Order: sequence, then structure tokens, then C-alpha cells
Amino acid sequence: MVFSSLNFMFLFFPLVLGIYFLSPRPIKNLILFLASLVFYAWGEPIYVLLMIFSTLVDYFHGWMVQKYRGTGKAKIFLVSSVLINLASLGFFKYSEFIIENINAITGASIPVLNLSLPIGISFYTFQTMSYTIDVYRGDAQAQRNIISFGAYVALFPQLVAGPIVRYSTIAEQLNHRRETTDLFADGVQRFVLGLAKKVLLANSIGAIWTELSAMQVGELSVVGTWIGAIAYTFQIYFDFSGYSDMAIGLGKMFGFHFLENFQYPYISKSVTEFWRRWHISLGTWFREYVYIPLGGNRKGIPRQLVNIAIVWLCTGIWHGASWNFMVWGAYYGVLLMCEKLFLLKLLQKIPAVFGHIYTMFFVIISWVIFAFDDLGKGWEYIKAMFGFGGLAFVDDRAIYLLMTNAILLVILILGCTPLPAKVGRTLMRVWEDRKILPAVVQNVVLAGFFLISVAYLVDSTYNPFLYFRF
Amino acid sequence: MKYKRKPETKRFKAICVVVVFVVILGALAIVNVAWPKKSFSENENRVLATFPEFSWDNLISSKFTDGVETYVTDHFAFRDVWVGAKTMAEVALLKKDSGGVYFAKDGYLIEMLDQVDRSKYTENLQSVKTFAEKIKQEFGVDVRTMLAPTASYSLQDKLPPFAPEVDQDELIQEAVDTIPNFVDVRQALKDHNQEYIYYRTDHHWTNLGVCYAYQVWCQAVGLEVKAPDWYQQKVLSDAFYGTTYSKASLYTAKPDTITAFLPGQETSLTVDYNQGKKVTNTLYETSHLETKDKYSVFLDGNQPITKITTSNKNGRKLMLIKDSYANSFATFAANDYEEVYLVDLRHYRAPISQLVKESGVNEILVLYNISGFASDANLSLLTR
Repeated sequence: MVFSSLNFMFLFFPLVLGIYFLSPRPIKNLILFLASLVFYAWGEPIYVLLMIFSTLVDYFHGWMVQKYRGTGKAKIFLVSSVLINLASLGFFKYSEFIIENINAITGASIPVLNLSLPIGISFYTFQTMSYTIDVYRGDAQAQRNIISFGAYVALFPQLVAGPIVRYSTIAEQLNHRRETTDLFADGVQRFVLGLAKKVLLANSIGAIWTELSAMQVGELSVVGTWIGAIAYTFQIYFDFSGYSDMAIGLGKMFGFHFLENFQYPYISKSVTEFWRRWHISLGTWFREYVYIPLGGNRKGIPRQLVNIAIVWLCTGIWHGASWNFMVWGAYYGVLLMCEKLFLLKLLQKIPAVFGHIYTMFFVIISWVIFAFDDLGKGWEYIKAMFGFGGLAFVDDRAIYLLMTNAILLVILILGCTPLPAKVGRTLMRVWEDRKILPAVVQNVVLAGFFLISVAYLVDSTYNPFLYFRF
Repeated sequence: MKYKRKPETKRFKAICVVVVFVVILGALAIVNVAWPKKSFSENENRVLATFPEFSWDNLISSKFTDGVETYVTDHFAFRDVWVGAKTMAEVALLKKDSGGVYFAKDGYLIEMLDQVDRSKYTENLQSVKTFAEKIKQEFGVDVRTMLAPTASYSLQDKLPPFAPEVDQDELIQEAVDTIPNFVDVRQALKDHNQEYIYYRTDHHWTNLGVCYAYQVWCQAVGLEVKAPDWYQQKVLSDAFYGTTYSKASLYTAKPDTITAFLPGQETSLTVDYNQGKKVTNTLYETSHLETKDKYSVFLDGNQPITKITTSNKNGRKLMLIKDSYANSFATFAANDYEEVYLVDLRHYRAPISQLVKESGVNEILVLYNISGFASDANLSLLTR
């Protein structure tokens, strides 16, 4: 199930909400756990068993790690837990890719397994790994209660697309959280805004990318290829960050505080900054559990560069079992190394506008690499963007798309900046002393967004969710 | 005082948000469960999903949950209102199309034709060419072809600026160059593009449009050319909302009028559908006027094979190999021919050459609209 579906919003969610708040405190986690299993099993009736298996394995390992903390046995259990997690991720996500490549290179014909990818496996295996590691390091106590632990692993708000919640972040909240009206209201606002970002913005601009990317590159124009790439750039941000907003909002309604996952990435002045603002929970995970343990930047420049390379190779692989994701990871690895070595210093000296342009340029190109599973097609597309495809500079379609989407594009650009939030906050401050007016405005805006989003959802069968694959 | 009020206001705001959200969510949830379910959507012209049957097999294969998903979407209460609201939002954002349909001038909803599979199109032209040569050789009968341009060509002036349309001139030119005896109606329709020659809310041409195309046909085959006012025009319906209306879901659009073009004097004819399955004595199946699909009033919509026998005794027998554009065209041909056959390759499966032989037709017209022709998957059946 995805949040942006009528099923979720008008069937599953009201039921869960009702049952959850009517239940006594001691069984609230059980309700969440069961609801999450139903949520997951809705789309993956078989793989829910895999998730339960993963939960049990990590529960047991966490327990053992804690029991033997400080001894060699703890390390053995830690390694065993990490290996099991990586093995299940590797098997379900990468076996087909590996077999295909072995076949291609050696000419062997090992049959591919045709497994479908369990939804959210990349997210929940990373969460469960964080659990055993945090317990091993003493950053968190092992969870005694299997239900609470299950609720952590399966928690439906962040199950399918993150944010990747580290165990230490919500260990305390699992058993001692308070649901309050204020928090719930915050959650509603966050959820509705996330829904609007996903349904009204991401889906609308995504339709353009779908239209353009389905065409042969030769039928486009140079301007057309850029419109496509920029459309995808907007789509992936509003889609993913909208989904994170919905997750964070839902979490708040149930009394959880998740960490932010996006912080206006497209206003960055360098790629380094971009990655501090984009998919923060993944970046944090790799920094905490890979980069820093490898020595981070404490062991000299050469070693730091190697560490960056390793992290970015992993990041690329994490995003998908396909060569374009490796290239995409390597691309960012190289950019970040260049910035570490000299570019950042240079960027600080020149006016900020160049930093913005430089960053968005490389980010847009990176999304094209990301978008095409077929590296050859992606390369052809990028060449066409720079006039090496023999395309006309501009055609009717490009002008038509620009004209008919002008308002949407302005909204998207503004939506990438902190401006709308600032306006909202300022208004609320101006009306601080008034009671009715701010409440009316806030509710009209939220209800409006919500109802229009529902209208778009009812209208569309066009509701693909981009981050499902990862 | 001030210190006390602030948290209170904040709390009031929070309560408002929670109450409004819970009420909307709950109300929609309850309405959707309780709302009476329809089994058919007129507007979308399709049967709506039924609730899936529960079984372990269905559950494990996701069939059950997928089914519930479709069911909920299909039966969402006030579905049309939501969909219409979405279109209005898009109009407000200055979008110029929705669901593959342009919001064109003068209330026209015109189907986009922004992509054509050129190799399929060329292949279809070759099939017609091969067929024409074969028929000419075997029976000495000329096969003519008419590809009607769609509204986005003939009514170009009404499209939004820079509409990314394929060049229908180029497509038709390819047909002219490939196929013998091509009947070109482009100019005839363009000359009258200020008149009501296409439906505003449907992808078909109106009978006035057909009338002008039929004039070109008459010229080509040596029949008397009749002006529109030769006919007695009779309104069949003034509440026709067609396919582009459904696709665009722009509910502010005005309905179309369907007008029959009848000959001045009484004539008698019989219409035989599907080789004796149904026989009537009218070209108009008025029962369709009570449904959404009103264009089917002409010869009962798309049937595999239809034979019209008229009281004309001139020996002229015409076979139309066709799509739905020809259904209204045939009501004109019935005035001038002794027999008119309509064959729809999408439904008729026996070899055409055999039918030509058995029916003894002496004129053949392949009549499609250009968009349908370019994507048709059955034209290769002609060459069997």
C-alpha cells in the first residue's frame, strides 16, 4: 500500500487511527505492529514472512550482542547479524543482476530466479542493521519486548520508503512516547503538505517526463530534452520528499519524532551541501556505519578519498541493481572528491549564484543517469542535451510544454525553496494575537490541499511511486 | 495575560486542525463504504470493477488486494465530481489539454494526435495497396481509399498555440503517393472549417462534415454532387457528450447535436446486420440515443458486417471497408447505391476477397480516419 492511495486514506488509515487511539496504552505498540504487517502484506503477501524473519533474527542478535557486550562473542553476533541482513538484501535485490552479468561475461547460462523485489527491503534491512550496531556500540539498549521491536522494524509510516530511522533515534519513544493534540495537528499538516507535494506536484510534472522519456530521443529537441531532465529533477524531489513528509507526519500522529530527511536540497551551493540536504537519513546511515568506521577524514587525504569512494560505490549500489546506479554513485563520488580537494575552496570565493548553477547542473545530469536503466540510452539522451544528437534546438512540443506548464514550473521552483514555509510562519506570527483568523486560514489551506489531492487521486490511475524500486 | 493567551491560541489552532482532518477523513471513509455502488460508468463507457472474491490463492497472488484497490477507486463516491474538479484545477493552471484532449477554441475538445507509429502506418498503406492490386486483377474492381483527417487537422485554427501535432498533410501525402485511387478530402473539409463539421465533444465528424467529404466522393465516382440543403436535416439528439468529453472530463463543455441528413423523398431500404442476425428497415438505431454512446445511432455502431439494400435499381454496389467514420458516411451512400456493404476488419474475420466475389460489389472504398488507420492492427487481413 502507498499513502497516496484512496485505499490507504479512506479504508486503512481511518481504521488504524480509530483502533489505535481507542486501545489502552500497553497494546498500542501491538496495534501498530499488526497494522504495519497488514500494510506490508497488502502489497507483499509472501514477503511479509521475510520481514518477520528479519525481525526475529535481529531481535535475537540484539539480545545476544547485549548479553555478551564487551566480549568477542558480541562481535560474532554483530557480524552474523550484519551478514544475514546483507545476504537477504543481496539475494533479493542483486542476485538477478549478478547472474545476468556473470552470464554476459562468461557466456554461461545460469537461470535467473525472477524474484520480485520485496518492497522496502533496502530500508528495513538498513534499519535493523542500525539496531544491532547501535546495541553493540552501547548507543542503545537491546529491546526486550519483541512487539516493540517488531513495531520499530515494520512501522508502516517509514516502512516502504524511509526515512531510515536509526534505532537509537526512537528507542526511547518506542515505549515512552506521548501522543498530543499539538503533535497530531503538526502531523496532519505535515502529512497533507506531503500528500500535495506528491500528488499535485510530483505526479503532474512527472507526466511530462513520462511523455518525453517514452519518445525516441531523435524525436525531441534540445530544449525538449532539458525540459524532460528538469521535469524528472522536480518529480523525484517532490515525490520522495513528499513521501518523507507523509511518513514524518504520520509518525507524529502516533507520537513519534522522526528526523528530517530533506532540507531544501535544490538550494545548495555545492554538491557536498546537496548531499547534506538530500535523503539525509541515508547519508547519515552511511556516514555513521561506513564512512566514520573506515576512518572518515581522520587518516589523511588519500585515505579519505578511498573512504569517499567506498561510500559512494555503496550508495550507488544501494539505489538499485543496475549499472546506471553504479555510474551514478561513482559520478557523485568523483564530484565530492573534487570538491574536497579544491572545488569547495574555489566555490567559496566566487558569487553564490555560480555555486547554485554549478550544483543544479550536475544534479540534473545525475538524474538523467539515474533515470535510464539502460546506460546507452542515458548516454544518448545526455549527448542530445548538449546538441550532439543532431536535434533541432526547439520544437512545437517544447514550446507547448513550457507554455502550458508555466504556472506549475513557477510553483515547483518556489516549492524547492524555504519561501512558502517562511510565508506561512510569518503570517502566523503576524496573527499571533488573533484566535479565529489563523485557524480558519490554516484549515482552509490544508483542507483545500487535501481535497484537491483526493480529486487528483480519484482522477488518476497515474500514480507510480518512484522510490518503490529501491 | 499575554503569556496565558499564546499557548491557548496555539492549542485552539491545533484542535481545529485535528477536528477538521478527522471529520473530513471519517466522513469520506463512511460515505464511501455506505454509498450505493454502480456497476457501469456511463461517462467512462466501461463496466466498473466488482468486489474481488476472497480465497487464499487470490490473497497470496495479490489478486485480492489489487482487486480491492481497483474496486475502491472505481466506486469512489461522487467520482465524476472529483474528476471534474481536477480538470478545473488544471484549467486554472492554464493547462491546455487533459487526457490526451486539447481544450480548443469555441468549446471544442479535440483529440491530440501528437505521435504516430510511422512504420505501422506505412505497413498499413502497403496492405491496402497490395489489396487494391489484387482486387483489380482478380475482379476488375477499383479499390479507392479515403483517409479522413481528424479535427486537429481540419480545425487547426482552433488548437492552442504550438500544439505538438503530427503533420497530417505529410501522412496523407504518403498515402496519395502509395495508393492508387486515393480520394483526398483534406481541402473540402478545410474549406468549411468555420462550420460545424466535427463534433465538439467527440472524435467523429458530423454529418455536415460527412456531407462535404461525400461530395468529393461523388465527384470521384461520377455521382451527382448534392449540397447540404438538398437534404432534409433532422435533429436526432441535442444532448450528445462524446468521447473527447469523457477523456478530458471538462464538465463545462456544451453538448453536441446529432443531425440526420435524410433524402427529400421517401425511400425504402433494408439493413441486414451480420448476415441475417438482425434485419431492420432503417439506418438509424434510435435506441442508442438514450445511452451515452449516441454516435452508434448510425447503423448500430460498429458491426462486423452490415448490408444495406435500397430501392435504387442502378446496379451500383459499394463495399466500405471501414472504421466508425464510415457509419455516418454509409447513410449518405444509401441514397445513391443499390447495395452498400460495411465491413469492419476489427470484427470481421473471413477473407475479404471471397466477400467481394460473393457480393458482386463493383466499387470498394477503404474509409478510415487517419488516426485510426495509422494504429490499426487488422489491415493486414486485407491481403489474405
